[in-house]
Amino acid sequence: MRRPHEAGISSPRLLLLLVIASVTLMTLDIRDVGPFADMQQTTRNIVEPFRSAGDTVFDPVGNVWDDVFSGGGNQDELDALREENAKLRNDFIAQANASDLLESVMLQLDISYVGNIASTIATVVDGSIGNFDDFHIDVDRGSNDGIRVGMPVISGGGLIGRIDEADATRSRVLLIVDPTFNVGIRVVGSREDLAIVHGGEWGNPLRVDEDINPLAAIEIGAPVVTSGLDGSLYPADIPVGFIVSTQLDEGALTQILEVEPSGELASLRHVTILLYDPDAEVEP
Amino acid sequence: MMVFVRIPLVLVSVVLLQITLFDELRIAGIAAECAMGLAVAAGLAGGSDKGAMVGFLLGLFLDLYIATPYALSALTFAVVAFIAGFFDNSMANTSWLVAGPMIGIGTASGVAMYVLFGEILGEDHFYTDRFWVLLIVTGLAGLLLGGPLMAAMRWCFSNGARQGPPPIRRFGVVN
Repeated sequence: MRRPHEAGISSPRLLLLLVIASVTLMTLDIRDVGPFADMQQTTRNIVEPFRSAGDTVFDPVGNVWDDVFSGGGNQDELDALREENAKLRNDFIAQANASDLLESVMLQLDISYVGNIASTIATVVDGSIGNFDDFHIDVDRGSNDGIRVGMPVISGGGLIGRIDEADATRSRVLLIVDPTFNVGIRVVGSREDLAIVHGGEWGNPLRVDEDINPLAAIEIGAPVVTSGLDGSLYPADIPVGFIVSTQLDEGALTQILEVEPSGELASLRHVTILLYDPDAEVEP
Repeated sequence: MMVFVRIPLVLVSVVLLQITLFDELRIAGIAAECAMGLAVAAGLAGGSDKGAMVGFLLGLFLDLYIATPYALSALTFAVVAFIAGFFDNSMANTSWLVAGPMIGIGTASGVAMYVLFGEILGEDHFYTDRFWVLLIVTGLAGLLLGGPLMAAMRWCFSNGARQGPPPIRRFGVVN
């Protein structure tokens, strides 16, 4: 009598086939092959109504769960304090920057440092999904609202991330704390010092570990803003954070800077997405 | 033929539950890995071949929603289900009290494998100092969810007619 697996592909071969298929799909994803990404997006769009229904049904369950297991009674107060803290940080940067771009901005609906760039407010509908996706949030605006991959996302306190995926009615935001997140910055008050800052994971400051002149005098507490150089995904002068430490790396002839993000990341409810197209900016 | 209706139905339902309900119900900040549990159940209920296929498809669908390397879940679920398929499924098929622990252990092992594969692929943040807490919580959740997951996969692989006890399979050999 034949065993079941002898009728078709034998077990080890099937497993090998699936492993090869997985590695191939990983490669296609990493290389961001267009049709493959479109197919993923289309599938998500088809399932989206069911997912939204699930969110609607289960969010209250989650809130009750949080209240029971996380002491949710103090959460609103904590959120309000965090929001106020973010606004105060933003105010500090606004005063420190010589330009007038950062003047007295307190509310998401009136963020003036984005200048004339069109923007849209989005509500955070999901945090990171699962146990390994630590650096993303989902927002309720998608390609139907003009959202495109790469657009900067800010909160009252400054830059908090960029659009990583844009489905029809929902987008995924890569947060600034992700170690793969890079943004060109300049230290306010020392216009020569342009560098790249990258995420340092939750609880750690952002890091600049190259391209800073070892002789440059950089003060602790100095604000850091986006450089907005040609080719950058981000417009200039969006607050990124404050310098919290500097350390000379003699071997690499640079200074290592640690930057505390000014945007409030821990309890985001609403964010502003800048409908910024860097290519359009470059055009004369 | 019903298999081709039931399996997608169960896979989609479990993925939606994973990214909505179970993502909300966190213990110590850790969500139950319901989808991993279903992959283990697929291996136990259907054997290595069917389990690996179901695990692979389940992982592909889940990977649409989590921002880790695409197909990493598919790879892990396929391997986990394949290995689970080699274990004696007769006990798991007859009692939830047995299915629960088997799926709990399988889930925790699968999560450990996922972390290993992730680290190999350069996802440095997968292994943290809370690794053991992660294994314990996901293992316990798998234990609790094991019965329903096993029932769902048995339903997927059944042909709709009432049958006698399933054939006893020990390490892939049908007796």
